[in-house]
Amino acid sequence: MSTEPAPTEPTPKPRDLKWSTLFGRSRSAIFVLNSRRQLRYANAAWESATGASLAKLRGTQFSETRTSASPLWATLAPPREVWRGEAARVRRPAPGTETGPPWWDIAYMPLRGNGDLILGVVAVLEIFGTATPRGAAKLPTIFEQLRHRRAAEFTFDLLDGASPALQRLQAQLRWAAEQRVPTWLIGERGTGQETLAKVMHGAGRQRETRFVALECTGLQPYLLEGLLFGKGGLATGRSTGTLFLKNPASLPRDLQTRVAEWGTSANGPHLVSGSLNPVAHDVAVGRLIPRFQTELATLEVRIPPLRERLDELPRFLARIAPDRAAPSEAALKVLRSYSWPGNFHELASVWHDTWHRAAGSAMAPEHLPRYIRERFLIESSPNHPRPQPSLDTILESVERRMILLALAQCDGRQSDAAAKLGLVRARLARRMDALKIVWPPETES
Amino acid sequence: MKVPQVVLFALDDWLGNQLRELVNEHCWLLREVRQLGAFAGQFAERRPSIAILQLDWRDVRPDLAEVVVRMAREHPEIAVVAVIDTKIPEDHQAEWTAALLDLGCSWVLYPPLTRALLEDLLSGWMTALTDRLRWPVAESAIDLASGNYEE
Repeated sequence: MSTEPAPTEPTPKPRDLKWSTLFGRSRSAIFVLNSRRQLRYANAAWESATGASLAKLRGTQFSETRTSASPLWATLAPPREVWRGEAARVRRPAPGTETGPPWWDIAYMPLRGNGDLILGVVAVLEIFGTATPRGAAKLPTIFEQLRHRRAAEFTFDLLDGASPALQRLQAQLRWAAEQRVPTWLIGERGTGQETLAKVMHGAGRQRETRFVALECTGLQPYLLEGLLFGKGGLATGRSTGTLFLKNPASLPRDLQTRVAEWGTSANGPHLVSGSLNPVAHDVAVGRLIPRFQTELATLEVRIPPLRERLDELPRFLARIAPDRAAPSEAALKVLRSYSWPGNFHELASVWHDTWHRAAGSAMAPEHLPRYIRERFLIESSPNHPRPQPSLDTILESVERRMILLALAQCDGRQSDAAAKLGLVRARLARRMDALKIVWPPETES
Repeated sequence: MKVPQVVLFALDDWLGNQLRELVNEHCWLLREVRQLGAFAGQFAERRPSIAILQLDWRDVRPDLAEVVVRMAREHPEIAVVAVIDTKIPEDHQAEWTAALLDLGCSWVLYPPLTRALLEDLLSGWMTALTDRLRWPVAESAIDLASGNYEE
């Protein structure tokens, strides 16, 4: 047996390490586009994965729209944000398959020049899954067409707003979507948790996979267990990209454990949960297993209720029914006086009912339900009581009044006033400082 | 709140017959619709509603898939249950379920369908929907003079 070491490839000197050399030796399938969206380079791994030849395709331009391009180009085309200078990752069905598997997972990195100029794009392609055999229960094409149409309605534009809180919410959710961070959404009923989860799905790298929302309240556990983990259940496939659980604390603990295991597995979905309470609360009262807090609620986000976003009412109404006439200013004023405990569900319901009453014309106050109009009349009445002060405010004002009365009765002698109030003098002095009580009271000059 | 309803678009009478007893017991409405065009019109009134659509997976009607999407868009508070009429190979079931839920269905059922399963599912959904449509009362000031307050 020879003891000589096997001949190895000479290690290239640093001056030989051109980008094309590096890419050429890579086992990852890599391709490069120039600023005119033409294919400039692809390595051998790319040729092997796609079955295409660089020599034949060099210079071919990627189409703007995915629908008009060839299946290969449609699958490889960078999303629009890449040409705006943002890195992106997408998962698409392989060319020629409408639904996958196999899936093509493509990471795009734009090469930025001066200013907004994009010099080109480097992309890395990975392939997941094996093809479905022919003749199997294939999904109809209409599903995919409708899914794309529906997905286009759920974008971060829904969260547009000038307030810093909304902008921060948008940035947090965008980050969580891109990084597949398990997210816990807190919000009152009807604040749009499922909508936000769907927006996150559309912005994430698994946007081409399925979004699944499950109601956990009210349903018998065996039904949910069957749908998720039974024969042919969702966990047996790999097409679920995002799983949105509405109120997971309603699930029995053994099912929570199985969901947690699936959500944290390598092939598991991106888990987004919606609840009325913070995750720590549900864990503390024993309704939720601690694993949800430690692993499945990395980001906790509070969604503001509608009553905190009343300035945006015209935008919300236009979104609910874009083809309807905008409400009159007077109607908007009435709508803004109401506190909307049912949030967007209630708003949509009122808008829907009102439209029938308005018979196609712009919504006026008289078209609105009576309970909303009454609330407006009460709020705008000069005899309407001011908003209920907090308990602390009430107690402080009572304490201030008692101290002032005691001081007045004792001619300002703090020792006597303290005795009258059942306090030691030092404590009275501390309370006077805290409540900013000056004795004798300052008179206006 | 108005009486809950179950609206059914089925290929035959079997599903309706299975549900009739449950619906009568709870005094819900059961509306069996034969024309898909009339289906979405059954939800104009605000009431807890479950829409059941039976479909043949070998030949899915495009207008039926469009109804699912339309329902999810215009009536998100309604549960849409898709009932697949014949068995799908098990290894494709997950894919079909995910695809239908993604389109806007709330639940997907496969054979074998039993009356007990249908009743459990509908009862559970109707509880969830009734709860969803019962909004909390608008906030008001605390009235110290009201209630049976005893120190």
